[in-house]
Amino acid sequence: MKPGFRPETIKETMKINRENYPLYFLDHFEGRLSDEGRRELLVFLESHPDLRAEFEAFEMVGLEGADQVEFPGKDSLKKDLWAAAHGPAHAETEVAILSEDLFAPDDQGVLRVRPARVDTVLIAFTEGDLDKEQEEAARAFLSANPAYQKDLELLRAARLRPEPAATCPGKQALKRHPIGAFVRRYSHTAAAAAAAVLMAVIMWHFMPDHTTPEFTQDTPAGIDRELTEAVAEAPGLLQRSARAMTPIPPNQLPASSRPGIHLATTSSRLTSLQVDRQSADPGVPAAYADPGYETPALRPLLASQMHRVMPQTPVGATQRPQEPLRKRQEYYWLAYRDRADLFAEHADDPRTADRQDLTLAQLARNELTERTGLPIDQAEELLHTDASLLGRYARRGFGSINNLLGQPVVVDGETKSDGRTVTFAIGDFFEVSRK
Amino acid sequence: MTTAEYNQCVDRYADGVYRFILKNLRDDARAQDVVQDSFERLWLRHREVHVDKARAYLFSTAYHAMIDSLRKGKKEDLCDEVPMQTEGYQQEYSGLGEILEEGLSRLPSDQRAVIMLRDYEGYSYHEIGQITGLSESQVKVYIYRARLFLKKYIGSMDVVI
Repeated sequence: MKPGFRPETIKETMKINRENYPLYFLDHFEGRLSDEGRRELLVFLESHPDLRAEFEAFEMVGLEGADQVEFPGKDSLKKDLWAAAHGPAHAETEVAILSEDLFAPDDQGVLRVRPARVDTVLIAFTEGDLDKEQEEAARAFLSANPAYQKDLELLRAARLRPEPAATCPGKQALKRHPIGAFVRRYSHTAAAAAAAVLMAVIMWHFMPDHTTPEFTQDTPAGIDRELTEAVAEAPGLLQRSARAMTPIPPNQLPASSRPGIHLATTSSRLTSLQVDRQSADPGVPAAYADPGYETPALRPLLASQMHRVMPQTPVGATQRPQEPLRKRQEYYWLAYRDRADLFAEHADDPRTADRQDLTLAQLARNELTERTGLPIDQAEELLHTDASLLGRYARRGFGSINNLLGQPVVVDGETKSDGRTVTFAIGDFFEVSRK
Repeated sequence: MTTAEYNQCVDRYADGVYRFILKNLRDDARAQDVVQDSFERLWLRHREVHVDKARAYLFSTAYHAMIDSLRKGKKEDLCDEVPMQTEGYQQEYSGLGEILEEGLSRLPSDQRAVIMLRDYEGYSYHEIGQITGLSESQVKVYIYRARLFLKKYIGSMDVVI
């Protein structure tokens, strides 16, 4: 018997039992059992008469030349790494599948399918893995053995068919809008028409400001530090901020005469932002009133799009580390829905056309209601009493702006001599103007 | 890759990636998250990834995200745990497609993934290897095993064939 055929041999300390008796049977007929072992075997057989017939059957194994006999398909018993990791072995091991002994030439030199490898040959045939000669051999085999036709049909039937009906929901929201190209395209007609989104002033909420003591008192000191870091990470920011600011066309400005910084755009693709300092003032709760944006038609759509990608966060707590705005990758999950597309889809709604401006407070309120499902009035009340909450949710709302821009947000800023940061710019094509 | 090319990739590949992930995860919300995450990653690297490689990049990213999602969800392969039915089916199937679906769901996740890339997307062994990080040989082994399993599975339901 060749080494390796028998997985183990009798050890001196081993005692015969119903588990290991085949080893004793083999060694007995091969003359390798010691006298003591033979006596032990005889005693065992007397006490287990049901194994007598099996013992006698083993006698043939001890015939001369028996150790030259090889077990056919020995390779198929080998275990590969996958089988070891995943459990029971499959019919074809890795070694068998990858071996190239699927065919063998007959006496006339014609390639023939090895009978033991029919399954693999048929799979290779349907996968197109055979060369021309092998394919002919496979066809000849199938002609000569029509019983295997059904196997072939089953293999062909086992191929998956694409299901074009299944489409990705929200696919359009995955797209990015080439704002830069848009801006370049129309810049020759009017710089102002190129989309001057003035934003950022969001951060103004976090800065010391003697004109809005309510907010400055409530703003956590850490946010100021965070902003300072964000600005510090944007080299050259002062240069860019010093560029001539794009004036906001008068007709784009809100009628409000209250002091503040206004964000506006003439591009229908962009959600313009009007950030009015006083409108976010807790003393003016009416500023939160938004007659159109959160329409019954729009809100469920917004919510369905936003809730799925936004983990529910308890009000007043955040699971996301505070990061500077410019690190877009930290914000990518915040919003995937292009609000402009949403407006476009509901262009027939007269309220949609009127809702192209958002105050900072509205931005924050929208984010808060969408993330938490809170009623609007409760969300407004929370924002009314917690400036840091307003800042946090308004900033999250900028995730939507990231998508509109189609490029990472860059925070730019300018600091006045009194140390107060007054402006921020987002992106390469947008500048901040202070009214 | 330009923004326009990126958006073309969305049109061309979003459905395929979505189907691929959905079939594996069997969870629509998670599948959508994986797709969105994959495209987000592509976007973040769109200046480096050539448009010709975008499809493979997307599938590769989605595949690995799916594996992560499976691990997080502590999903277990059912292939070896669910005995193949050989007689007395109580389930009623309206056609081969449903039986294949059932058989597909019983494959180990790695076999299921490679055979879907093969059949749905028409990828070669080499391409599947690039997407999944498996060797070409291992891909071939998985596909052969999956074929054999599916063949036996649908063959055992000879009422359909």
